[in-house]
Amino acid sequence: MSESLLQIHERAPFIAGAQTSAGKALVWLAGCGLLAWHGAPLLMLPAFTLVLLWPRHRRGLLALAALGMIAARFLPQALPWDEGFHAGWLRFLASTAIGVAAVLLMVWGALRFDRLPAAIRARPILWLHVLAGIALATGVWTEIWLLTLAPVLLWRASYLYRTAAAGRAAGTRFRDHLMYLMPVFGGTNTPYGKGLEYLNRTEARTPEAFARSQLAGIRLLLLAVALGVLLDLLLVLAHGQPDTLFRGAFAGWSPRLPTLGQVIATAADPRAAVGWAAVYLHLIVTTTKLATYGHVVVGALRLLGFNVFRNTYKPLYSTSIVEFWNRFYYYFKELLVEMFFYPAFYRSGWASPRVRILIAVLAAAFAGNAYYHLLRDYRIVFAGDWPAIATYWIPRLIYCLLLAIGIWLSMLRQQELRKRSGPPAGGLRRLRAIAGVWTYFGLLQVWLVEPEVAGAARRSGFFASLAGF
Amino acid sequence: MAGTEGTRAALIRFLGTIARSGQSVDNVADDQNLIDSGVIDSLAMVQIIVYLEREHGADLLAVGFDPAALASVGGILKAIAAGNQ
Repeated sequence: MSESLLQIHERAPFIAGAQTSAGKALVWLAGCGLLAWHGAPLLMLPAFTLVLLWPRHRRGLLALAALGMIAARFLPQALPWDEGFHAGWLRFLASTAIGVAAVLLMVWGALRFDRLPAAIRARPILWLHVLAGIALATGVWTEIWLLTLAPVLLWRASYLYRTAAAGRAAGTRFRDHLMYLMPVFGGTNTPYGKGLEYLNRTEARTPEAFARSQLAGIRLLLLAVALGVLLDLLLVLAHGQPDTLFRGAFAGWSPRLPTLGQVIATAADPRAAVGWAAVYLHLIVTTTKLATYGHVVVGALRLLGFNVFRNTYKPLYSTSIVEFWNRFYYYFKELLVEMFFYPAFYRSGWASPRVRILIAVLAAAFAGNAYYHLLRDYRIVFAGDWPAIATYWIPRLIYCLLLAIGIWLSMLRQQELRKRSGPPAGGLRRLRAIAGVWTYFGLLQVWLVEPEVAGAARRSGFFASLAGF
Repeated sequence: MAGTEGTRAALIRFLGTIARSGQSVDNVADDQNLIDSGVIDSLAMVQIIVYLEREHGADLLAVGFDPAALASVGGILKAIAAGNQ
């Protein structure tokens, strides 16, 4: 029975039931309730409702919702409401109009890709990022409200122009691209659901596929509720944190272990056992938080009829570093692999296979990863405070480098293991492999965890204290 | 025709060596996306590229193939054919 309930998206009676009027009403109720519980974007509720009623018009509806998302981004300019029509309203209307025009222009360029100048056609994504870089370097990005769209748009537009450069945007329409450029289903600067090509492949085209996708979405949103509750329970039991669902309950039982961030923020190192507990707990908390957030976005996408992969899929069961990387933050990894790894791999055919993989991994997990965060955290760089820049960036660059080396070694090891035929490791060997992965990624977090004011020296000191030094 | 069949059979044998644990490639359709369906992960495409370069002398950069096009058996066979032209 429990198996049947967990697999609602795979069971024929549930799928058939979800296609009836009563079933659709239940799906709508469950979907709206869960989206509201998780604090999904407000526009998601009407978008979901309309797509449920008219799935054939899904893309048009989501394109309209995308335009609404642009307006919603600038809405704070029109506040406060009680002052009637004031200058902020004009700013809001102008920003929205220019924002919509900019996004439409971006799509227009991709749809007419073969008419763009040859230099741009040769390296469209590079040009896109050069323009973003100019906006950053000249301060335009930081000064003009309109360009607050840029970090969200940039990576999604990279997928758009990648499709256009491959000649696969021909025959597509504005609505096909608008729906993911400013997604109503949420996401970070990383495009959950990638671009049109992946969404195309995963879009439900029959009532049965739509019902299956929506049930899979509800299942994921329910899983996110469960993970949220478990996370809060862990936070209160391990750290005695009061701001959880449980309020003050259970806090009396907590050993009140410091979090990894607290350990790094204090000058004195804790006992090694407390330090290690902070490392492993932080890994579990970070993974659960990311999984919960990703399940909400992917759940929303599935409710809309795009049965995409989960963003996080059981990373803590991974037996290798590369497997963890693949399962932890799938859409970020895909972004790095598609935009950095493969271009570097293709262009380094002159190198030996091992060196070639190293170059590609460094391009993705080190250079691409660092560049992504440079764009995300551009304010720190452009503030011009060099000690603050060094304090923030040196640990992050160490993190990126260690991550890249770990992935490279893991990929080589996996290739060797694939050559040996035999069943996958089980029992103690599997547990040992999982423990190794936990330890590796737990220790990596030492270089990444907030506070940003803790520099490399402090983090190195804590690192050494874990080994008893 | 026999050559094409032989190429496909060799490709399927190779894909069997890079498939994820517990995944079979024996019955995959030519247009089935191997990554989307979980048969291989996206990083295993590295081995597909190396396979194409080594076994078929394909220069994928020169023929303008992108990794997404290599995610199905049909796509890989097209890349082999393009490399042979």
